[in-house]
Amino acid sequence: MGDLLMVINEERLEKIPLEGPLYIFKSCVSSNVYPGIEACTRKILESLGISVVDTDQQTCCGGLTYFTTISSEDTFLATVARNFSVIEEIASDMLVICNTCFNALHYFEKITEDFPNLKVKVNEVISKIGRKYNEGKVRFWHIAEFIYKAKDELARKIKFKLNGLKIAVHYGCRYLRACQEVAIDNPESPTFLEEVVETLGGTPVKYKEKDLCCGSGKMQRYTARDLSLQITARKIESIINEDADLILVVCPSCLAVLDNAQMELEILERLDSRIPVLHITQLIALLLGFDPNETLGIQVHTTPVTPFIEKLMENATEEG
Amino acid sequence: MSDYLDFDKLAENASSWEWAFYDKIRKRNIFASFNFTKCYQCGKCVGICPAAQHSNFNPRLIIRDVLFGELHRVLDSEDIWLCFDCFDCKVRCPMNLDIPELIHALRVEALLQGRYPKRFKTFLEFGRNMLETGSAISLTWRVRKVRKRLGMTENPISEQAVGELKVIAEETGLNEHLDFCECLIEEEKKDKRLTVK
Repeated sequence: MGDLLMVINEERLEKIPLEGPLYIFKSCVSSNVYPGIEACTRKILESLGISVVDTDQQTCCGGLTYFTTISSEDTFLATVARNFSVIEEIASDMLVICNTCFNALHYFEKITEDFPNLKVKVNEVISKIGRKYNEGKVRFWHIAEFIYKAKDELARKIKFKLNGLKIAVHYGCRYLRACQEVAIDNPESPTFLEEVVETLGGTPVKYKEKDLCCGSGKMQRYTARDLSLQITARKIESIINEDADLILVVCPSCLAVLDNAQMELEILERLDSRIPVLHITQLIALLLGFDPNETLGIQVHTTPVTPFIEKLMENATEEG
Repeated sequence: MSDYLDFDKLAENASSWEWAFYDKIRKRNIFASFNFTKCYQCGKCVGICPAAQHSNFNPRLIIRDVLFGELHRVLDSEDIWLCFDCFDCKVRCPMNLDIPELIHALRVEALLQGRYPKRFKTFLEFGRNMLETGSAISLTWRVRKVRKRLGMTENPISEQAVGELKVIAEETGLNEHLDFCECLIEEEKKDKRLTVK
């Protein structure tokens, strides 16, 4: 087996920047389907006093079409390289709010490292649009690991404490397992998100299907819907069994599937209750006091989030 | 026909392992460190695989079939499209083999031979969206309004960026590939088209 670290990767943790300017890498799902994820990330950085730079020149990471066999490696590499060349002009660190994007960027770096001639090839293509990819000018960090690093400071700034509310953390596949070479925690038994939940005053819930995929896969929600739903049902049933108040995710695809499938599963009589799902940026923005409709964007959620918000507010008033 | 590995048969046939297909997909897919000859068929991948638990998908057999050149079973079946790419297999494989990468290579090969999964049209739309709007998932009217309410720009991608992406698509043959995929769907090659049961 590879060199699996069974503890937090301290070396990587140290490098994560807590100062601006930072760039937020926009994503199809995090910006165009659940825009609350992008909005909450901006508010979190604002609350931490970190400056944010922006550009409208960044396009899709190119990952989704490549992973679903619609685009070739050449298109994929050139798209990623172009984005890197756009961002390196304005920032040297960026936060990635989507796991497909993170996977795509990491994959690009890994491959161009293993096959350096690809860097030349990709620059040939993007030189046609007057751009150049320079290696190593932009570093990228997953929003979950950034939040892990900033967890103590965030815990000090939050207005509402979780006060022991039970949160089931879903780690997902794309960050820890697909990118295990650069992830901050080990893929077999990760704990870093549970540490974040504890720091914010919540109770992480232990549930049987912690390591299971959400059911989204790269395409299975479309190409093998029954199979996908079975996996999602197992996941959610296992969480509901432990009486959790919320499912916490770090990936917008996981959010989309776990949020949307519940209604379907209720109709199929596989579930008889629903449980709210939030992305980690949405939860933290909520705790920092930002509005569910003005910042979290819960209006696009299918499974109601208000039961969780009510519990949070109830607890807050009880403590005084 | 038994799916269990017959070691005697394996030893007998070792010299006739089919390398042509393996080499072909290895050369096309430059990303994978194709070292699947290290697989000793322990089956840990199948044990943890979520798709295997609810369907006939079997990564161990797929590796075996690829090495033995039993292409029909690999490319013609729906199985390779069932993999969730969750990487559980790679993490637990004693040889850390990049099985999801193999699955991706097989999918590309299958597609080029005219086989595609159910709802493939959706992914084609991702490609078209990327060319037209710069993002694989296009902005709906509703989400634009939500973005505005959340204090962000309605459309985060500029016309110039879309234009540059079009040049990249032109240079790297994306348009041709999208046309090819569209032809496949339109021709409805019923004998090769897959439907997930």
